[in-house]
Amino acid sequence: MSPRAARADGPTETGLTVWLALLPAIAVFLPGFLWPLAVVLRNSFWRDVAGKLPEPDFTVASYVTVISDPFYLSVFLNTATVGAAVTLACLVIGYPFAVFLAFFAQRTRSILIWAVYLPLFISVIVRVLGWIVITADSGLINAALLRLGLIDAPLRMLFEVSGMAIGMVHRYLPLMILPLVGALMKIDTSWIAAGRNLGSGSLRAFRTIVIPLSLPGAVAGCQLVFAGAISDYVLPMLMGTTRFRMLAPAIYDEAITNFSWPRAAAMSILLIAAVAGLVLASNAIMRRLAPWTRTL
Amino acid sequence: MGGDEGALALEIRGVSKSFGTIAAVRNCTLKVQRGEIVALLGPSGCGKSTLLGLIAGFHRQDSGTIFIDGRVADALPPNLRETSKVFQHYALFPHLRVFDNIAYGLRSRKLPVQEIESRVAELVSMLKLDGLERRFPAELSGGQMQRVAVARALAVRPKLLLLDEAFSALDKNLRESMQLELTLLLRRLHITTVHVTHDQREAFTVADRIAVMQSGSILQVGTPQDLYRVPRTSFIMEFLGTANRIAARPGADGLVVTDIGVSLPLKATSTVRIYLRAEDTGLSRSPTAAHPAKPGRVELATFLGSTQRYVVSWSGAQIVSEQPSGTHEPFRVGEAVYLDLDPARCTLVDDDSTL
Repeated sequence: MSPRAARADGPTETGLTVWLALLPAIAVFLPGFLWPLAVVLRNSFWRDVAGKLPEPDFTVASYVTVISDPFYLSVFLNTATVGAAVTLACLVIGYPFAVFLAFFAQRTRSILIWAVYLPLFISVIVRVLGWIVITADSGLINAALLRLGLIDAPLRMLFEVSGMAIGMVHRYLPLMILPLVGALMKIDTSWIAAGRNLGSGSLRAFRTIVIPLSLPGAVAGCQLVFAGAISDYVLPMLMGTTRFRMLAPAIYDEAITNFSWPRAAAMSILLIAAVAGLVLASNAIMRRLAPWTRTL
Repeated sequence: MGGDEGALALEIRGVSKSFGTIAAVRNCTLKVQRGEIVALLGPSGCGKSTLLGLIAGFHRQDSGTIFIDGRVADALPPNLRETSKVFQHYALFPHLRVFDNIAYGLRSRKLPVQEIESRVAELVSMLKLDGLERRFPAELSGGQMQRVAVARALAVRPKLLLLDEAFSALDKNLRESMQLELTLLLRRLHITTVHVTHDQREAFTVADRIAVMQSGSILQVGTPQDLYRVPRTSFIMEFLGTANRIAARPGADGLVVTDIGVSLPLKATSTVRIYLRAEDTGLSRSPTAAHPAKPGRVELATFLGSTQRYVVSWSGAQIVSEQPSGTHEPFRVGEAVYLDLDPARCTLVDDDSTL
């Protein structure tokens, strides 16, 4: 992750040519992303007026409210909990699969990679509708469990935290698996052979070689899944419950239902700051835990 | 540790291994004494690395038995075989510093921390790695990486050291100095070694004895002198050094007349091939007893430092000759030359023989 100024063998053009090449990106990025972000930042310092639109001001009142009011705190806590749980579930489900894909699947590898990619090509709404059919009270899972006599009454999953979490795990699992597979595929099997040759059983070789070398992929996967889960709007809306508020729908409610743009903006800024802070923190931890990544 | 004192360090008895329909190793038998350095020499794809993998336990042979230190090793997984391998591209653990790479095998043997530290320190100084202990492999030069790989392999005090093309990734000068240095180290420490290489000079430099392999079989095992002077097959003759192959047939007076006008006082009853090493092929500006007429033409004269190499051609035949430089007036391209041969240096092989 060390910044490299310019690659020694790269083209040497600088100045106008480079800016011209960047023009399309700048044309989208500046008005489409940076400007709205600046507006959100500005709105977060405006003043709420009961029953009316907010008025221009420079006050941190909204920030104070959203970090001290028990309702907003519970929203942040709920979101962080779900984010952590979904990330952990994706890691636990995705890691063995990624190991299988990288080391054991030979003829089936490309098909399995496609199986991981394919859901990304399908609208999340469509996928949620599928999960509704599966998790509903009269859905696939409950019908099967009832028929087998394992339960007497349907398990309530849909429109509950559990159903929403299932949907999120399904939505974000590819974002965990793909970086993991990328990191695992870079592991030279002769390193594992060397470990076995030097007296490690297969379990110790896995623990001392495969796991540490897959760490960069795991961290990247966790960052992607966590950032996605805590900012998810669709799944809390379509599969979650209003008794367990998540951050993105709460921001929507503040802005659209309550006309409280400052609070919505303050929550958004805090969400962005949290994601950025987490990414920076995990990168810093990586540098401590895996200093070798800088040498490659 | 264990094993009886008189036992061979390694014995391979009738070992074969196929991958699918491809026979990689065929019925190989080899005995290695304690402290001996044996090279497995052969072209790429001859099965030498597979045989090394069988010794290390990475593959299991289809038939035959491998004894390590007098005990059957067939059922042992690689981690219990007490062999140490230096991999072709070293296979250093990229996430571990030099110290931890060398200590890896000691830690898997759960040695006390103090012993680990003292053994690593010993190897660091033995392999001149002082000051590099905190580096990661990616921060080392090729020669340093090789030293770390050797240190890591020796740290566990293996019963058998396995070198797999361990020098091939180094530049020529560094390769030759590392070959000498490692050979001296292995002899001083009396470490039994099996060394896989495709490089004849390297095998000659490092090994006490050499097993030449072709198509999965061991063709001949012997000292470098044996193999060079008394090769059992034409493959070995051609593989070691530069050999000329001359077609010949029986002639009048019991002489063998070759296609290039050479007559030799040798006996043959059918058409034969004569093998002659480049350094045994003398050249002369005037006709010789063996080569009275029909001179060849010097096509190429190459100065190689200690020797001078010539390519001499007739219509349809070509001979390579190597002479020590400084011992003769160099022949020039285009000169007409006669061969000056010692019949005793010629090896005859029947044309229809499979050798």
